[in-house]
Amino acid sequence: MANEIYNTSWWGVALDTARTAGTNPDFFGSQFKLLTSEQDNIVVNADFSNGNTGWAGDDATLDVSNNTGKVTVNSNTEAGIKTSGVNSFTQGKEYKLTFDIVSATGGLVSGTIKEYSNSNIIGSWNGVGSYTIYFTYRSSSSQLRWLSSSSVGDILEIDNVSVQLVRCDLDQIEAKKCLADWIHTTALKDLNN
Amino acid sequence: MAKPKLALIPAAQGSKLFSVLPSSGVGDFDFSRSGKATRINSQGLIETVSNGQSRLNYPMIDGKVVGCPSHLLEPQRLQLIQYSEEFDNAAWSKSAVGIDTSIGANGINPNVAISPDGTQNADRVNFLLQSDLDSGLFDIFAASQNNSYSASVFLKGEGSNIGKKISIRVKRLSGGSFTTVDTHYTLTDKWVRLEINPLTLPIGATNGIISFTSSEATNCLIYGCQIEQGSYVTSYIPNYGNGSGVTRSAEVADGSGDAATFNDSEGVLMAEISALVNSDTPRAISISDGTISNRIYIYYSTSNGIEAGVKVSGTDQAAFSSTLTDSTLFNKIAIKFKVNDFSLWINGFELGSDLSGSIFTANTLTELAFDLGDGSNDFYGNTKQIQYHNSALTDSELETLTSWTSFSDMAEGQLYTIE
Repeated sequence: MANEIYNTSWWGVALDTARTAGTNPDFFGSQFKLLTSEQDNIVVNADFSNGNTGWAGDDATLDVSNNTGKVTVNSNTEAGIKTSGVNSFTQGKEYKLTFDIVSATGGLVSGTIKEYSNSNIIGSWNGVGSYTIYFTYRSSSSQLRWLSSSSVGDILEIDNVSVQLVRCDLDQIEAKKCLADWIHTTALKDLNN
Repeated sequence: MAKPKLALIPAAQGSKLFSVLPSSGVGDFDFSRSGKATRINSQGLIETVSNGQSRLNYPMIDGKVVGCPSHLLEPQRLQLIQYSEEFDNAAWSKSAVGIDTSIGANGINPNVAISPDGTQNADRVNFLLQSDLDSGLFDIFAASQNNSYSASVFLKGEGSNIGKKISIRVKRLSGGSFTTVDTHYTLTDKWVRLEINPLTLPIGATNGIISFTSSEATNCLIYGCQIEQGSYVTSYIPNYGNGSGVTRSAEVADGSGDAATFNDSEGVLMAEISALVNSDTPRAISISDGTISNRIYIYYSTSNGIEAGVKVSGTDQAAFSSTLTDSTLFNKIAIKFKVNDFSLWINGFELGSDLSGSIFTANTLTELAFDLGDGSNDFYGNTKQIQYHNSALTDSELETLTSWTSFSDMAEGQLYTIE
């Protein structure tokens, strides 16, 4: 039977390994795009490889010379680093945020991540390390800020920031064969068009 | 035929109903249900799904899973049986007239067999053969006049009792006129969920009672007894002792797509769906602006009826009615909309057309939802696919879209076994 090539285990492996097929969001790639991990990173210049594009200091001076986002606080206030107006969050949608704290001193050893509005706190960090936070975007600001009460000279250095729309994890997609069959049947109808 | 702009194919469970198209995720449906619910999983077993998680439910024939799952959306229901799986509990009364109380725990052997949830928690009830339907294993449930109550229970026969009948009586406990629903069921060697016709309590009646007896079988396996207020049975709700009952909350799925997703000038909305019951209040699927004034809709009505149409600024531009053979079986339904060109297709046939009518102004349509547009008349049923095409398909394409792709596809959709 032709369908046997799409048995569950085969397709599960394909979903898990053939990620390159998902980089092009065509019809076949759409099934891979069901995975959160295959969603686009909506943070611009997430690895700071393109200068300070998409980033700014928040009462702090931004230095991206090491391909990280390093800010040095210039005022005794709540300060840190923020994205700068080029992201595309949608209100009410759930996102997965990951980032690394490379270094931190003073008041910026710990802090909170907020939407632009102070009332919309989405998570926190405490010390150097990697963080994963799931959150629902509530405002229309399309901005994230890493902030803490700081003193002049305090440092925060972040890198590898990723924000992806939350869709499925692989183990949530349990009817893989059914999905693959529908994709292929529909594609064949389109070919015969 | 062009590929759909938006497609919901049930393949995943989670906090949304995940649409495979568009790949951006903008077509995902927001989903909500407060609290847990159960489903039939891919192994054919009853499985609890946690708070806020959607359900993939697998179809079964003769105790085996056949084919692909559907998304199950159900209304709120209250399980009124206090101990739905523990028939040895004192909440279940055992009459010495109809129950052999010398066996096991007052006539019940608890946890003696693998139940439909895959664990060893099914009980055996031991009968004394007699014909009094009131003198057996029974439980009283809270009920009030003029309301309907639907009962269900999983039963299985063993050994020489296979092929013999047991009787289930559901009746009003007191007050009002004598009202009862008596069911006589022949045991098989498989677990079967017996769904009993609803009991409507007469005026003046108070509470209800369900009892199990047999004049033929000396015992049977029993699991998952449920009484719920409503005219039809829904998915199993376990209750492990809550005297007030256990509620499964209503499910809502909406918020798929946005203004950029939908073409306000023309398109097709297609659904492969089955209802939970043939006759009830409207259960709708629609593309709308979040109101009932601007919408393309399909909904189940009463007596296997299906309604579909297009309403612009509160005025019907097309309104079709048809009657399905059985709305609880899967049907493929599509409505085409375009200025002066509207039609309804069901299972490969055009069942209505209207060549007069206007259409929406640009950027009107913003959402595909399992409701009538404004959040009312939620869809309750099973969904195998939803497709939205952003162009008006040809008749040939609509015929193809709403037809079964193969004989086995049709048989599976109608839950027939091919031998």
